[in-house]
Amino acid sequence: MDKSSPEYRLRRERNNVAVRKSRDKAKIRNIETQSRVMELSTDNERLRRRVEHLSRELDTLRGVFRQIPEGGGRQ
Amino acid sequence: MAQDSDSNDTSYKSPSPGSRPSSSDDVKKVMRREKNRIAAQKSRMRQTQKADNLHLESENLQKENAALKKEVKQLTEEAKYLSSVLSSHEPLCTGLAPQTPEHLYPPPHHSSYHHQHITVPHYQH
Repeated sequence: MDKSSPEYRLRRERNNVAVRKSRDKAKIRNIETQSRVMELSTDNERLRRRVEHLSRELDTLRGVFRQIPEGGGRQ
Repeated sequence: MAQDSDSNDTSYKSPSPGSRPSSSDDVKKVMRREKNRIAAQKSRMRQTQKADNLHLESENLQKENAALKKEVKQLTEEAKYLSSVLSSHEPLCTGLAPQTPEHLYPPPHHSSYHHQHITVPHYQH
């Protein structure tokens, strides 16, 4: 293993470049996943609130049907 | 600068502490190297674990998100259905009490307030 040889240096340089590229890609993927997690978290929070609101709305609507007295409606 | 670095070359380098490297120095060096190797291994494992967890979290949130959207759709449809049932009941309803004359309660558009036996909430979307 001749570390001074130009062949060695060339191989080292190419590997260094490849390593940098690979690490940069991984870093970017990580940042994108983090961003996605944040976005999904806010979406889910919003959707939960909507589900809560719709459930209350439905309960109220069903309450109307419970109010039907005997013989009420079409006669 | 990484351009000319041997930073990714992990072969063992010969000691150069002084003119007379003792064997105890060599032992210390080997021990330090080994400690560092283990620490680096741990660090890489933690990094991988962190990335895997983040990916899992993303997948789980995606699934939750899909389920919540489905629920919203179902609840919305049910609310629309019940509302429409009530709307179609309105013109046919006789109620309990005798009919109040229409001219005393001119029905505003879409109002159900002249129902005397049913209080209808009105949802407009």
